[in-house]
Amino acid sequence: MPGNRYVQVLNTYLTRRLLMLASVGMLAISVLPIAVWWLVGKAGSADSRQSMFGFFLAFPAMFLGAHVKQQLATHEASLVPGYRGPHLVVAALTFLVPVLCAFVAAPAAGGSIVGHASLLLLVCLMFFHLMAAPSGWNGVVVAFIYLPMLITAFRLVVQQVLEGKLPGLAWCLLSAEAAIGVLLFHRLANLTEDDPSYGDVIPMNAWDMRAAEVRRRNRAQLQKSPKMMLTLIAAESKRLDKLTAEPATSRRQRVALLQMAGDWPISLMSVFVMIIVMESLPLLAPRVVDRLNPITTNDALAMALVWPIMLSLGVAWALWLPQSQRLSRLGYESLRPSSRREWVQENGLAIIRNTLRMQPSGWWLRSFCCSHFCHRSRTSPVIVQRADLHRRRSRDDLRCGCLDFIVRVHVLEAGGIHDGCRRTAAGVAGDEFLLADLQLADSGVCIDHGWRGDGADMGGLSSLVSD
Amino acid sequence: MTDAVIQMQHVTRRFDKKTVLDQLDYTLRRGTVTGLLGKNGSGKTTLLKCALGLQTPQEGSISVFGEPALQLSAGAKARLAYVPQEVSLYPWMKVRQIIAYTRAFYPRWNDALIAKLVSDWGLGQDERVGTLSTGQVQKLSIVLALGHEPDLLVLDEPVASLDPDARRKFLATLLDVALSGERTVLFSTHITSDLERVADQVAVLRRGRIVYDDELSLLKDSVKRIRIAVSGTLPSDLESLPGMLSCDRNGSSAIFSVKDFTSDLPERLRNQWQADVQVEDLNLEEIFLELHHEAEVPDAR
Repeated sequence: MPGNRYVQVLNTYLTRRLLMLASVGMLAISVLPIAVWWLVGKAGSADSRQSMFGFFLAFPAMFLGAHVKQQLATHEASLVPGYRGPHLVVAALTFLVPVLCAFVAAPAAGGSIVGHASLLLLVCLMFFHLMAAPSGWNGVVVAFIYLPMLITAFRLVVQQVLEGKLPGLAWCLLSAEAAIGVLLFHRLANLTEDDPSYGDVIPMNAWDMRAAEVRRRNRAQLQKSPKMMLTLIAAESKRLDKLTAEPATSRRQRVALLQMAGDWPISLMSVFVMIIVMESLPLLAPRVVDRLNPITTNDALAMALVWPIMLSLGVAWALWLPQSQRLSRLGYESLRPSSRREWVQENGLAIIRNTLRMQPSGWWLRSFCCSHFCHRSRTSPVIVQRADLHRRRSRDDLRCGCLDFIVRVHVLEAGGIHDGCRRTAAGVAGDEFLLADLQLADSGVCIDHGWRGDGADMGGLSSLVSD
Repeated sequence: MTDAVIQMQHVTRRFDKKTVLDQLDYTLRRGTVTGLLGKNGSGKTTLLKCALGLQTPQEGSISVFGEPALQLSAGAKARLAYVPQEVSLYPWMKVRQIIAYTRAFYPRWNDALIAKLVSDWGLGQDERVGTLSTGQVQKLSIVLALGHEPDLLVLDEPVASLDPDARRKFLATLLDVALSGERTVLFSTHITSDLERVADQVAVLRRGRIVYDDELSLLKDSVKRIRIAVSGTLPSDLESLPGMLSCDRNGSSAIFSVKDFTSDLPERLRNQWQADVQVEDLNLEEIFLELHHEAEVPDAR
């Protein structure tokens, strides 16, 4: 067995103990809630079904993607006999884990095994792809990950797939995943140094970083001039020429130079613009989709909270990046002819000045996001989270003859959203209509999620809720 | 059976607009230890990678053991080994684990040789690769390359990170490998003294082409430095001598280097210019410099 190449390949996973432990932990975290919901007797609820999709499975998938890329972006993949096969087979077999999770979780959560498997595999495949075959399309993949979090319609689709109400979509997803998986593995099976993504091996820890650096240097000659980067650094490059035209004798000049320290002399404003562009995608996506699916009060409130935090993280990243790039150089940079005290002060001043350059626009953006979404939270239509009836109605009484009804929800005033739903959800004229998914329960009707529907059918639910 | 282990014909490899290999022709013969010499950026690594099918040339054909380099069979792969300039091994694995891992892929493996090399080169079996120094990782990669006793061993600057003791041990091992059976070794290096110690063939890469490929002793015989002194003025057409590599005039005397030296050249010069002619041997480093001096002065001839 020790000589078996499959065992040895498996060993490359098992010997990465820290990452294995983290992956198993993440897997447990994603499955554990199902057990908890099951224990408290709410195994079939929507919450229990969605708890699998906290993206905890993303971490093991990312680890797997990075690991496989590390194994195949080497000369051994081309020169060692029978190398690629066992590595790809073992990697492919690990995709059975999300399928196994689906078999365990779906019955416990009262959902569909196919639905669970299709979505779990989708999440895993997306994150595997991010690491194993990074490309310019990664932004699209990341945006796709945002969608279910931010857009109600996608959440509803996810919910229905999990419940098994959209088996066709689930099977389509599974087929697409299989096709994408085959294409991806085919690409990995034929990966050579001629592939532009050959050296894009994303390190998972400090040791990996060293290996990644070696790979980066090995394929450096394959890289074409990064034109976008050259454009971004053009202004800073001119500024650097101007600053270095004469010796930096004053503290002010030295601090100005230190402000530009980093692997690429990218201006902080350029980085900031990049962040805004990247983060605008999920900011704008809901507005585009808004025409089909209104941003709801709850969504807007979540965004008012989340978005400023995201922007803060982006600004912090932009400030941290040049410093992190300098870490390995700080040792010999400290040997420059200045006292320790001066050196610390000048570096500190450079960081402070960079921070001051960044923060005003950062605060403006955060304020804008906060006020924008707070405003939306007051004016957006509401998804009725729960609308309890005071007396039980039979299914026939609902006149529409099925469990899906048109509900009309009035645009609520600020505050008291859930109370407001119960009191004013029906019978008030408005512009927006939501089609709600109603579930008959002993205590009445629960409206879990909704989307815009046709106003012509609303009469049924109006009378239902007003009762 | 053909004598060529690697055969490259009209190979051109470009990166963006830069041509690194330009219609290169090269044949690596069986049973030779060949040192590949060239300046930084001359394309040595690219040549080695193209030769093994790791990179695809835009033009030309390459075969290894008679098979196309880009489609090597498992059998051919089992007969070759490559040690890159910068090694990337699994940093989280222990030395014994990575040996076991590598061994699993080869049908033939010399455990005794590996155990001896690991012991001789001071590699701890339970040390993690990530904690090894750059030189130790280089040693380990060489050990892994020798485990299956390859017929063809290709090394890209294998001793660059090694200390003098390790270099000597490595060279001794390389000689052992080369002398045991019909093995072929191709290695690039900047350290010409090492090359002189082990190589029997030299290939010099310049401007994307192999400008010299023959026995080391023949290279030494063919490149000479000549001191010439005349009673009057030096002839104006001195630089037009066939095979002139460099020329340094100083009044009525000159020092110049020539390739394609023949034993009758000094006598011809004496007769032609009534000159005092002295011939000096050059070591490989000096030959390397002279050959590349010619590259910097393209019109020297």
